[in-house]
Amino acid sequence: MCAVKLFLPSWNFFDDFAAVPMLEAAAVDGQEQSSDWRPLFGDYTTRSLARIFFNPKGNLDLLESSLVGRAADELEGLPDRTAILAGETYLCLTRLARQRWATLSESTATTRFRFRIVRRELHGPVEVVFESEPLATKGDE
Amino acid sequence: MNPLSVPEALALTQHVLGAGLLVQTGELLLARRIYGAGGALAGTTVLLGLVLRLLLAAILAFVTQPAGHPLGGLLHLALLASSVWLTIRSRGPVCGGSDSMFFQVQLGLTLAQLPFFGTSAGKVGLLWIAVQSVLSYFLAGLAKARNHRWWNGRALRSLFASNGPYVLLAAVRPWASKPALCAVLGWSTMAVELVLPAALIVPVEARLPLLALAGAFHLFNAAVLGLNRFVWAWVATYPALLAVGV
Repeated sequence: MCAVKLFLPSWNFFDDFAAVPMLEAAAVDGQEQSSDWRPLFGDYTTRSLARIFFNPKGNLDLLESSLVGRAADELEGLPDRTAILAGETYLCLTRLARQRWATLSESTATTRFRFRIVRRELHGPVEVVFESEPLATKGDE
Repeated sequence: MNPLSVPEALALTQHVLGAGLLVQTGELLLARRIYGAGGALAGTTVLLGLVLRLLLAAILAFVTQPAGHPLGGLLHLALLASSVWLTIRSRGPVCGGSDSMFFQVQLGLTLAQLPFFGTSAGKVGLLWIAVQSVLSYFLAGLAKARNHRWWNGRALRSLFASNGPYVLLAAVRPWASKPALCAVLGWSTMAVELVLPAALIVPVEARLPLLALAGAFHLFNAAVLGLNRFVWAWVATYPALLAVGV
């Protein structure tokens, strides 16, 4: 399906910049959450103009963000949690969350964490789209 | 001033597209951890596919393909196949809109090599590219024009104050608290996008400043939002806009 869209582009983008799905994570101790939710994508401000010519990190961040966005849309359409956990999308999200969590300082002191996808309006409430079970910080579960 | 000839326009399109694909593939090679063990898109290795794509893009960027030459046709088909492979492997476009336009330009260049269009093949290919280009601007502009947040500046205020997914240039962050500036920028964006289709009907002399304005718009977005690939993808369509039309 994604390849079909290459042949039939919609050209309908950037029509608004409202609530964006974002990936957050928190440390888990036992079964209890032991830290606040932290965004897994870091600083969204730069002073670099060199990225006009070459921007590998920025485009990687965008690719991973778009995976989160597509996952949010997909997970909202699934009938139940069993269907979500059995899917490739959940596995993809888990790997992404684990890799990003490993870059945060809290990750070194914990062996378990959980992640969630939220939608945040600029000055509005947070909507939780999906929240994972506690996961090991290392591994491939 | 005369429009670009078909061979000139095809050659320019090839070189600009090739340069854009070199940038895209080079960036992906440096970011390929996403496809490696533990990465979000972990699976079979992409290194060989990306290196091959880089070589194909380099040929496109630096070697002019004569119209109708079978090797040229093979090159374009190989790049098309490579793009489809990359999209499937990445569970979707690797960079949204620019992937779509890169692909449409590649399609147009492939059409220009197909023998069953005869001597009109080049024009058919350029027309395809030109139509996709003006459609992209016009439909994007129309979608914005239908959203009151673009008219009152709120859409751009949200963007400049946002935390994701775009990494914003620090200098524009204060613009989030300037509603009049954001409204003017919004009107300007819509104006550029809605007016650009006129490039197909105005004299060539009038197309150049229009395309220069659009190119500046893409450079601005590259600086402010980090959307560098959009510059290459859309500028690759400009030779077609200078060659076709009434």
